[in-house]
Amino acid sequence: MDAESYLKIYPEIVLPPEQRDAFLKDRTGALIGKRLLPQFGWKLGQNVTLQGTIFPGDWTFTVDGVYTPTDPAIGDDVLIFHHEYFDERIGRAGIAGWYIVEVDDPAHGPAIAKAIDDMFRNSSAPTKTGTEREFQASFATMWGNVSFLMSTIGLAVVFAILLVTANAMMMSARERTGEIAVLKTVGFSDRLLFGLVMVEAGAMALTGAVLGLGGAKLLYPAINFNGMGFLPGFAVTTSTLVIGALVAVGLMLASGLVPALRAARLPVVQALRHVE
Amino acid sequence: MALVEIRDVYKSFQREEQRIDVFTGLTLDIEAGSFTALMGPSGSGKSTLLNLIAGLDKPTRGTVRVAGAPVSEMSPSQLAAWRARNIGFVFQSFNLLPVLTAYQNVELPLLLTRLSGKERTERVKLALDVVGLADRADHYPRQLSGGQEQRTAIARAIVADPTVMLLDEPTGQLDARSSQEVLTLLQRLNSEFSKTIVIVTHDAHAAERAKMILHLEKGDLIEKPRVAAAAAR
Repeated sequence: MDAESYLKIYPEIVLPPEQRDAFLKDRTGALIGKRLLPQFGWKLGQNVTLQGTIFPGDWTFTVDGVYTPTDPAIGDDVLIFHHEYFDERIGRAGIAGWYIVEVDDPAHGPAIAKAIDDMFRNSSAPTKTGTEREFQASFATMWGNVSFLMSTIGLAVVFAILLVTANAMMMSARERTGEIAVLKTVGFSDRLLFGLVMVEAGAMALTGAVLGLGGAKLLYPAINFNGMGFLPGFAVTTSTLVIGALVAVGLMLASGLVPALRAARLPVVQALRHVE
Repeated sequence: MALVEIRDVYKSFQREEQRIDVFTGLTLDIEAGSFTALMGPSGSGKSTLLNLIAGLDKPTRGTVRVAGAPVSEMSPSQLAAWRARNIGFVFQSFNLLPVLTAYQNVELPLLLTRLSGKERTERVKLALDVVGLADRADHYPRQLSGGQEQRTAIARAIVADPTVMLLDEPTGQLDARSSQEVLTLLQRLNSEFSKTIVIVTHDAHAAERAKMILHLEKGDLIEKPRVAAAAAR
């Protein structure tokens, strides 16, 4: 990237001024996200050599600065280096992968995008200009329809859990036919037994929800999950927790309703024959 | 007025195509403070009669009243509340909840009352004391002998001070010694605490402990109630 303009356009990339100056002056210098320090055991000022895959060969950089992003959308596991250094090694001076343009007003975005695309339409490298969000989303779609895939897996998991929970509740209720009959004989009403079975289903769903959602909420920040760099800023948000809680309530209703109704409607005499 | 009044009761079951008439116009009175044994062969309607008195089942026709309450006319929710206050039921196979201790099993009927925790504790301790199991309160059913389990079940039946105690073959799964203990306990509950007790039994020796023996056959009382020998002595 073009160092000076890039850092200007992304004030979210925060680093000490002296490190910033050192990087701007060092042609083979690099800025690294703070996560890379502990991950690779690198130190400030160290020369690190990477082996290129798409662009083969050894690529040596000096770690001139360590940045901390103020926006999780800016990944903290990125190594940023000078485009000039890349151009020299590759021998394709002036070729860029993408340009970032800052607009004065978001309302002007579509018109500016169109003007840029019109400008390069008949060139050897026509452009496709879009918002930053679209650009980032296009990276995710390089994996395929990730959103659809994740949704499908999620639904399959929920369905499997529903089957397991419903089966557990049905078996539990069936095995306890005798106990339900005894409780009815003692004086427990149909409504109370319905409530007790639903509470049991709710307790199971609640325990699962607390373990699952709580675990995810604690685990993701702890392991700093970012989908190998493709999902920077990935987090378990409040809306995710709410959806999870609603799914748990749905599971409770779906798995508890039939056994609860069965317990409430169980004829005592018939159930007592089962017991005796 | 008798405590339990059974008037012209009919009860039939439908089994596939066949209709089985258990009672065809049964009339019976059970007095307050009595100890009655119901005897008769299998299928004679003994357990069905117990279920009708407990409000667990409804007669096809006729009325069942207990302490003036029209049991046969109550709704399921009314019956549940009524049973909690008026009926102490003991099963042949004890039917204690295995995950609860003896104390918790005995406390179950009291959970349906408005008694405070302290009052419940006092009642449960008293009931366990009466059946001689005060030192087994923290034991789970699997840690009790058959006789102790049945005595715990009796404690559960008496803890709410019910109007009537109904016992379905209470000694059916017990050895001779435990049976005698349970029967002695029932006699004591009847004589010392004036509990009205109705037991269903096949065992003539058990029935002899009752004050009154009723013989049922095919749903009919085949002989007049007679005073049991032991009670007469």
